[in-house]
Parts: sequence; C-alpha cells; structure tokens
Amino acid sequence: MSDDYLWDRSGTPDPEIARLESLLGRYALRTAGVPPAAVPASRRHARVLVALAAALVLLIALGAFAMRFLWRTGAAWPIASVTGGPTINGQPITPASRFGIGDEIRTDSRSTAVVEIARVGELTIAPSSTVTLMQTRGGRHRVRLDRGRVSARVWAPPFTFSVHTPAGLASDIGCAFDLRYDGGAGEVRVTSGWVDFDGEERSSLIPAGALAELRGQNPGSPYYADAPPAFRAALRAYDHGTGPVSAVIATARPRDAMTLIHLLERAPRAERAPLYDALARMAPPPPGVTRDGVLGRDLEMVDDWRRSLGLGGIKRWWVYWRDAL
Amino acid sequence: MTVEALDDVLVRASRDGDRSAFGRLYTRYSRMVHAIVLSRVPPGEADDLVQDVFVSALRQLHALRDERAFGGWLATIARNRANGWHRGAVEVTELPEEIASSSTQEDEEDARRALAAVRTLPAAYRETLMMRLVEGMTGPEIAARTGLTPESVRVNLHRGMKLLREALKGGSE
Repeated sequence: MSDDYLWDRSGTPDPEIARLESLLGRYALRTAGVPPAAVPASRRHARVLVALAAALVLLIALGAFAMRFLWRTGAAWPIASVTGGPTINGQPITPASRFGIGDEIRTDSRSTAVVEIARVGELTIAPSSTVTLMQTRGGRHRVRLDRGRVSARVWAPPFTFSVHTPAGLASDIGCAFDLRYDGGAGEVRVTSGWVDFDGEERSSLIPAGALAELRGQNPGSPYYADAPPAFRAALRAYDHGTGPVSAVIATARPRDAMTLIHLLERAPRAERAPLYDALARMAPPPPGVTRDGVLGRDLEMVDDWRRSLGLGGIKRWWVYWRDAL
Repeated sequence: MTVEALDDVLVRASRDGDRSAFGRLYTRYSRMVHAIVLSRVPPGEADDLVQDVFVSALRQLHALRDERAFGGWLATIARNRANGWHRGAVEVTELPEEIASSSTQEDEEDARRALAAVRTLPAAYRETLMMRLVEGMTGPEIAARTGLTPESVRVNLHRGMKLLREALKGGSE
C-alpha cells in the first residue's frame, strides 16, 4: 500500500484507493462553498412551504401582540414618575420631560426616577445614580449606567434591553434584575428570568435568585444569593485566579450545581474532570449527556444538563410575563 | 496566518453578523461536516443535515468560548445532529439522482457496498476515511480542520484503510 498516496495523494497511486475514491466520490458534498442561507434545497421545499404558511397564519394572529415591540428609532421614552429632585441634562424633570438619546438622568441621594423602556418595560433609577440613554429602536434599547443602581422589568424577547457599565454589558433575557455599579465594582442580581452579562473576557449567564459580582471589566461567576460564605469566598478566589477549583467544589451544595455548570463551560480541560464528577454526584446528567462529551466541551450537552436542573428555559422568556407587570 | 488564527478572525466576524465571514467558514468546513454526517446517515439526508449543522452553529456561535477550537466544536455539533437524526427517522438506502445516468449498475453496487463497509468502522476511522475517500481531503487538510494531530490522522487513515480492505474482502467472499 502507498501510504504517501493515502496521506496526501503524492507518490504512486494505490489502485485500490484510487478505485475507492472514484466510487465514493459520488457521495461528496455537492453544495460546498455555498453558505447555508443560499443553498437551493429542493427536498426542503415542501417543508419550507408548510412552515411559511404556518408562519403567515401566526404572524396575522400575533400582529397586535407584535405592536408592543415596535418603536420608532430614536423616539424618546416617557418618564413615568419621580421622587425628590432628579435632573435630566442638569435641568429639573418636569411633566413634559422625556428621556431621549444622549440625555442623562441624575438622581441625588434622596431622589429616584422611573422611565418607560419604550413599550417593553420599566427602568427604575435609584438614588445617587447617573443613567444615559444610548440607543432606542424596535428590538433594541440600551442605556448606560455610569454609577449607582437601576432596576429593570422587561417583557420582551432576549437581548432587547441592555445596560452598559464599565464592567461590561448586562442584557435582559426576560425579565427583572437589579444592577449596581460604583467605583469599579458592583453586582447584577436577577429576580426573574435570566441576565446575560458580557465582560471583556468572560460572560456569565445568571438565573433568577442568583447574582454575579462585577469587578474591573468582567463579571464573576453566578451564584445563588443564599450561597454559604465559604462557597462565595472560594468562588471569588477562583474567579480572581487566586484559588483552586477544588475549594469551590468542596464547599458547594447540591443547589450550587448551577454555578458548577457555569464553571464547566469556561474551565480549562484539567479542571473539567473534577467539576464533571462533582456535578454528576449533585445532579446526575440527563440521558444523552456523556462524560466524554462534556469534557470535550460539547456545549449542547452542557446546555441539556443546565436545562435538567429546572432553572427555567432561557429561550422561554414569555412565561415570565407576571413578573413584568 | 495559521489555521487557528484565521478561524479566530472568521468566527469573531461571524459573531458580529458578517455573513461573508460565515460563508468562508462554511467553505472551509463543509466537507468535514459532510463526512462526519455521512458516516452516520444515508447519503440523501447528508446535504440537508450539513445545512442544519451550520445553521445550528451560527445560532450557537456566541457560546463558543475558544474561537480557535471552532473545528472541533463544529465536529461535535455535526455528530450530535447526525446522531439525533436517527432518533426521528427511518433509515432508507438511497443514491444521488445522477448516479443512475452516469454509472454502470456494477459501479453503483460497488459504491453502495464500499460506503456500507466504511460505515461499519469505528467512528474515528470512519470519519477520517470519509474525509479522505469521499470528500477528497488530504491528511494535512483533515488535521487542520478537525484539530487532530497529523500523527493521529495518519494512524486513523492507515488503520482505517486496513480494516476497510478486510471488510471489503470479507464482504466479497
């Protein structure tokens, strides 16, 4: 046998391999080089037509529902209520005031302001805070929190509403959270649904009942608000690179499986094995999730495992509508 | 620029919504993905499944932490999608439409038999041989796309070919 030919087609062709190439070549991909969206797929036509028809019916039925999420690009937000004497661009807020792009609302130690996030929710600005509206259009609304604390309640598809902070970007995945940031540190605490916090190098997906500490330009790992102090300390040390993952595992309760799942996604390979074993003891993996797959960073398996913890579906934002009222 | 560095650039651009960058990733990896799914599903289903794998990858791209590991990550999605296909489908044997008009009956039968023999091999050999014999990739290309070392690919090809010869020989006896 010519290993060279088998390896890179150099050297004398091995007749049997050449014959197999000739026979099997007919099964080669016939659409190479065409991106998924542009591929003509005749065998999908029937399915696509059915899907289109269903989508059309759905669109008509949900037309009114969708109106909620429409918003004219750049249109200012109404200010729902204030207490004390907050200002907008340095001027007192009046009943005629609206919060437009580039506007800055400041509250002092005794004032608050509540603004409507287009038609999708409400943002409460706590005392001693500074918030600027950066962008607003249908499907995308962003504010910047320079200091202080805000509370958001949103009922909209994931990533519709986001808050910029120096530590990164907090994006709503339905539907209620508090965000505090001051002097280079802070925290994001989720009361309903999920929040995705993207820092410079790291991201944290934080479920209801949990929080992540913010420091520098990254979020810490999410943990439940009722986690014991020893676990918090071990997690903080691990996040800052000053403590081992074994200390996190040793102090984790079964309920802290959520945190270990998060670590499993970002941990280097050497640390994934002990994390997997600890997790498997706390919350056995569902069918189809294997040790090899998880250690090999099969993110679908990790997602399946996270779902099996009963934390609520990340994509099922609409089920949290009560919390947005 | 190394393979990994280029992947890094293309993945980041794709994540930012650059469709042409994702198109380049598709061009670079579609044959690898096709080989992986073809080693698990009937030929007539493989092309569609390749599209599904890339659509799935595009949706999940934000979750990929190490952009340089794109090839291995994509291969895992392909395996999962192909394995998932079996849970919802009845396997049928079918051939591409043009075979009937461009091949002899004997070639058709031999091709079907060769494909079936490859699919009996262990996964590592099966996938590597599909990339080499079906998709026409060379050993160095396979290593670059899958993230396997060239030595591993060489071993997979060598041992896989040995097993394939035995399987074909046994099948013809």
